[in-house]
Amino acid sequence: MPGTGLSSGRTIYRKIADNIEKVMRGQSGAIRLALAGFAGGGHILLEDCPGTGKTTLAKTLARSMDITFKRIQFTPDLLPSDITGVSIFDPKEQVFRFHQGPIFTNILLVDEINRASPRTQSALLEAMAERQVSIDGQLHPLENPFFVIATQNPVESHGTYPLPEGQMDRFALQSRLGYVSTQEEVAILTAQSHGHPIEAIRPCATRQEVLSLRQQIDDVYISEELKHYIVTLVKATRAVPGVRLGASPRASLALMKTAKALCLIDGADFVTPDHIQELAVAVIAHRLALDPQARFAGRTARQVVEEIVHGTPVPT
Amino acid sequence: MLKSFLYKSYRFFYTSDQRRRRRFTLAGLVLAAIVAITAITGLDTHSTLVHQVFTLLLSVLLLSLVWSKFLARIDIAATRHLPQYATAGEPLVYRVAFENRTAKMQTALSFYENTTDPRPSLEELLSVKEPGEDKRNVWDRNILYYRWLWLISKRRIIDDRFHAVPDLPANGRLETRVEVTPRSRGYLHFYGFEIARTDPFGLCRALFSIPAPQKVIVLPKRYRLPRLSLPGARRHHARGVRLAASIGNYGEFVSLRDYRPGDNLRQIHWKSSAKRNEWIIKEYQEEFYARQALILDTFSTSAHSDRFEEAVSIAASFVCSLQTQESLLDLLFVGDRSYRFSSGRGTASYDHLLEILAAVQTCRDKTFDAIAAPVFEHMHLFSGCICVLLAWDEPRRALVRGLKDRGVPILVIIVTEDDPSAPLDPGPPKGFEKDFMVVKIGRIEEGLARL
Amino acid sequence: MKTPPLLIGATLLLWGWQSRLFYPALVMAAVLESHRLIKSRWDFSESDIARISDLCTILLAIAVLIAVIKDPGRFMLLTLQWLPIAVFPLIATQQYSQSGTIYGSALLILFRRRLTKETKRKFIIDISYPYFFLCLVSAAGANAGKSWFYYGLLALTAWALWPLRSRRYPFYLWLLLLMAGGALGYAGQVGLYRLHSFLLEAGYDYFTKNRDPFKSTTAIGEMIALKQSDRILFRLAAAGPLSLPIRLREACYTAYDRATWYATHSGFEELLPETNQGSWTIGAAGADAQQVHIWMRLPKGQNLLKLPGGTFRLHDLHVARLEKNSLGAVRSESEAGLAVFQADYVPGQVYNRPPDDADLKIPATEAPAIQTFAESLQLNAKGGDEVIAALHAFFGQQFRYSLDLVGHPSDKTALADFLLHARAGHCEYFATATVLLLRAAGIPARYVSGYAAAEYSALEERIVVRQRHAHAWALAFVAGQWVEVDTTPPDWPALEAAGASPFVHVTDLFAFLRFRLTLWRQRIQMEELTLYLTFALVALGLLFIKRLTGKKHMRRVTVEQRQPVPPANAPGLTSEFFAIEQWLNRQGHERQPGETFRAWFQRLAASAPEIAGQPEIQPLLALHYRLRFGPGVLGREDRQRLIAGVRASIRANDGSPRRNGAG
Repeated sequence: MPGTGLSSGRTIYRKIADNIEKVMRGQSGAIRLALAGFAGGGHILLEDCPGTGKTTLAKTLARSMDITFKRIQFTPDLLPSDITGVSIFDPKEQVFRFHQGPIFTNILLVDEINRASPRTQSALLEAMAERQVSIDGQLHPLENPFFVIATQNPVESHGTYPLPEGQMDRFALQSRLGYVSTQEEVAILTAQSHGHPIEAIRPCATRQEVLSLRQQIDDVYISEELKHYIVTLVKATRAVPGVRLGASPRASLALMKTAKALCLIDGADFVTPDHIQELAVAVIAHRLALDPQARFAGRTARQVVEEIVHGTPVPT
Repeated sequence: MLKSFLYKSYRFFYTSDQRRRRRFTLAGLVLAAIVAITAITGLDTHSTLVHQVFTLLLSVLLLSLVWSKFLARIDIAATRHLPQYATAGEPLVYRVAFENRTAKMQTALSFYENTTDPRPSLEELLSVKEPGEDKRNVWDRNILYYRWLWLISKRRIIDDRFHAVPDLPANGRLETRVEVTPRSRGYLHFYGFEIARTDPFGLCRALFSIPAPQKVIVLPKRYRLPRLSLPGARRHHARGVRLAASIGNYGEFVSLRDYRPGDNLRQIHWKSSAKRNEWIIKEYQEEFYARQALILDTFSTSAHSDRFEEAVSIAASFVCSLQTQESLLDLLFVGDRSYRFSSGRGTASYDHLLEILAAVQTCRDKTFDAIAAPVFEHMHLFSGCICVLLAWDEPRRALVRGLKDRGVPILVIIVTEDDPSAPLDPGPPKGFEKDFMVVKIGRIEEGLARL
Repeated sequence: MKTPPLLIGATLLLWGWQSRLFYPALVMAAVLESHRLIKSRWDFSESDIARISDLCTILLAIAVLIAVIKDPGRFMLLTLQWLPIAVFPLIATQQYSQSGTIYGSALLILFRRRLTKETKRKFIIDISYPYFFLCLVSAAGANAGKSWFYYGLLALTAWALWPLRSRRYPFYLWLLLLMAGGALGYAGQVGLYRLHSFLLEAGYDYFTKNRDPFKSTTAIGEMIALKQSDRILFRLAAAGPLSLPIRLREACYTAYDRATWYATHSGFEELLPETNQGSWTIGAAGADAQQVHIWMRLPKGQNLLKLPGGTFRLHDLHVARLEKNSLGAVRSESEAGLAVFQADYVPGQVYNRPPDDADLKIPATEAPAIQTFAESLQLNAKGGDEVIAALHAFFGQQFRYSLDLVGHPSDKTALADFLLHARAGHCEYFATATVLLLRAAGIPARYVSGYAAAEYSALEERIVVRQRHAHAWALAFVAGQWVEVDTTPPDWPALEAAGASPFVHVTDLFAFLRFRLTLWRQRIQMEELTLYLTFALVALGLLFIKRLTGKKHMRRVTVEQRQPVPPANAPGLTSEFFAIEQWLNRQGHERQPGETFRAWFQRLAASAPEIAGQPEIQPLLALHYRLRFGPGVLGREDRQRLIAGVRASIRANDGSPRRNGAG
């Protein structure tokens, strides 16, 4: 029944968001995006300066829901097997037993994804795409829900391995937290003067509720016209001068799903153009690869997507 | 004395010319020209009626002037959103956000950007020589008029142009897109906006200014380079990439393998060793990559040199293309002292190199030998060397010979204004013709394509 | 910037009407304005523009040549009138070119080589406004005083300025300022005209080279060396042999006072031409009449004719008006030009009115010196002819001709000093002294000024009279008739010639050539000229077209704007909510293409709060969204609510004040 299902989706979201906001103040926009990404079934990349609360957001999100959470800190000496797990020979049984790596969890926080070598990065990204891990010829499926929050620092460039552009597609959206306003920062100081508020977070949504949240987005309606609009936006990125690699149909899919998720969060039963426009930059910009010439001319991917959104006639 | 007087008069004429161009729209200028013409041709009022045209147009023009004198300042705010970089010769696109703080809608305004004053100082006018100035006749050389014009065109980075302000609704804000093309590298300073409003006839403008200081770096012009096979083998670099991450200290992991006598005990992988009850060693792959030296010849006798600008452009093209080829680059040149800038992994260091190239100037007080010492001192670090030279005289030949003798693979590019097919005297060292290239100003892209 | 449609055509028609080239103007206007109807365009390269620009230069040169031939004095004005024709090829090229502009760098040869490639590319100009102004100025130049012209000028200028106006200001303000400009301009041009007239009159006396028939200021008493120019003023020729010098009189004066001779009671009366226009009878015919041909340049207006004494008839003189006075001066009034006529005269005869008391008066200042001399020469005792002979002898032996004017002591007059002391002077001295001495001897005498034709030019085979042949002599009334008495030493032409410039032969040659050119062009009639001009234009036009049809012929391609078409079955396109959008558009609020309704209303909330900030809008917007993007069909009640809400909203807001654009 759509009526009750949708309202329950909204209430679930509200509960989780309120929970997170107890810890993360002044970041309601980022929380909204993160939850939309989560509900839409995609993964998020948070690129932000150090200390803005990326890890806290992931942890709080995980703790608000009754699901498992693991964290990996990427370092240059990390092996792919440190992520996926290893088969270890058990001398007693004379068999190889598979020990699961940290990837077998519901929410996986990957800190500083650009610190590990490209081989390790691709191991993670392949697993994210296929939702399964192949070890010694055996396929081990990942959990459901499976949600990766990856973080990276834009400031440090020494000793980092930037994610290959073709792999950036795996992340549904990229967002940033940014610094909060003065009052909010003061409030953070107040809140953390005695312990960390995250300790007080208790789960407010069960595993079942979370799964139903994800199912409900399929019930959200999107009109043909808006699908055309999404495809027009994504196609336009391929024709912009200075863009070496435009957005793929994966981007259109991600945009549609995330828009539906956002709709659900807002309590609407159909997608409106405003939802699509709100998400366009976050979903599309990180997938674009700019020509170095264009980059040195001052163009950024966000700029390109913003211009496309402003310039494309929107269905009214 | 004479030169000082000339300088002052050039300054005066330039200022009044700029003022006239800003004060009058194109239509106003055309009308003023017609007024002047009819004033002369209509002198005989008895045989023609041209004087009627004269008085009519003159009255219209005077009314415009008088109207534009009385301007109340309009309460408008404007902010510029500049990108991080611009490139010389490529359009710079940025947004200007206007905010209308009045209660009325504002239409038909225009603005132009106030940037650095391109007028040179008296010392600069006297000391800097225009290239090719000796070809001019004696009169021009003493009057310095062409030098003045050339200096102004060198210092003026963007053209003066009026852009339209979009129609701003009352209390509203709108953005507009501005495109300018910087002509040369360096810093582009913006001082503020000059907002112009025309009179009802559209002939004269009245201006008021909004301060908005900002600056943007203009990177040097870059050429497209073909896929290069750079000289030099990949060399072993102990200890991995310089400036590697602070976590972890040995190259990149490859795999675990059994211990072989003689392996470094620090590399034991304890966990798997414990599981297998034998020693398991972590195998590292040492980093192998090429590090190139890019030597930029900054030794020139004049402050503004076309050859030098092209050499900087060529160096910037190398920086840009090597970035995509996973080679590392070190930039060496001599300014007030010798400099060596290294790049690491990641794009920010390449941006840094380009910023440095945007600001590099010629070195007028030292000779070419000043660069030989730092080059040879650091030569052991490099797998190969790219030299961008401004001439092919004895000191430069000595450097190339020295590098060759040390067995360093070099690629030499010489920037010249003469015909490149004419053989260089003396020619390249023997056996070296493949990696020796002369490019002519104006045909650089073709020259580089032959690499 | 392009001129508004039909402006150039209208201006061309005005010009054509004023300069009497109406049919060419009609053709030109039709060609230029029909570019809006004819869709084909050509692609002109820079070298094409250069060639057409050269063509225009050639046309301009032809125009200048024709103008010089027609009327050398006013050739610049004529060229101005014909400029629109000369520039026509360029503007036609621009109108029919692909880009609607031309390369300014190709226009002048000066620019073609100096500019670099980049600046050449930027120097693209649109000459429609300059051409409009050119036609306007030409039309003004062809006109000499119609009063309504100013209003036409004002109307055309207003039409031209209309597209340039600034949108900030309302229409009435622009109109008001234009009216003010028009009034100022009118006052200005009237003022300029008056100023010019005033200057002309004031300067007339100063600048005039013709003698005033009412007074003649002599150089008696002047201190500077008198040097007259070698300029040839007029020419004479006779059928039979002539005895030189021939004295040609210009005017005659009766009263002397302080270095100036005045003519009293010398009003002019008009002469009527005979039935064949060009012949005039001045006096009674006489025996032994001789005829002389005269070529004289007459400036515009009134001129005194220089005729031999005893002239009784003139032939082939085409002037507007001829007058004579009782002292024998003949004045013509005509347009500027070279007068070629014949004069019949009786040598030795003088036509003048009978003497009266004024002809015996001696001014008080000169009286002592004159009386002294008269007594010393015993003039009173002699009869008329003897007096003349005595004067001839007196002046011929003891005086010499000199152009140097020396100062005179202040207690004597210049004339007295001349007679007593200096004994040297120019013809005015001799003539004045002669007249006064004659009067002292009781013979009525008058003073005549004119020219003495004394030089025969082998080059021209005519007698030439130069400026320096200006002369003065006396008239004495003896034995019932007036005779000429010339006491200036006869070697005076030679003395004058000695002071001539060494280049006199060169200047004479040029003067001769100019003279022949003027004679030739006067023979050409104006109608033939227009005919030649039209033929030339047509020929050039054909050449032009022929050259173009050989070139690449590119048609203009209209690119269809591809609008993103919504899927054909997009629901809700008939939503009534769009009426609110249209209503807002009428109020002047525009929606950006990438802006959704919600975002647009948010933006308008600041500037148009009365509409966008209303609480009723939001539920309507939600309904509209559901209609457009929602699943299923909008329920009936909901649809009705949308319709009603939209109507109410618009009605409620129609009374709100319109946004005005003044600023």
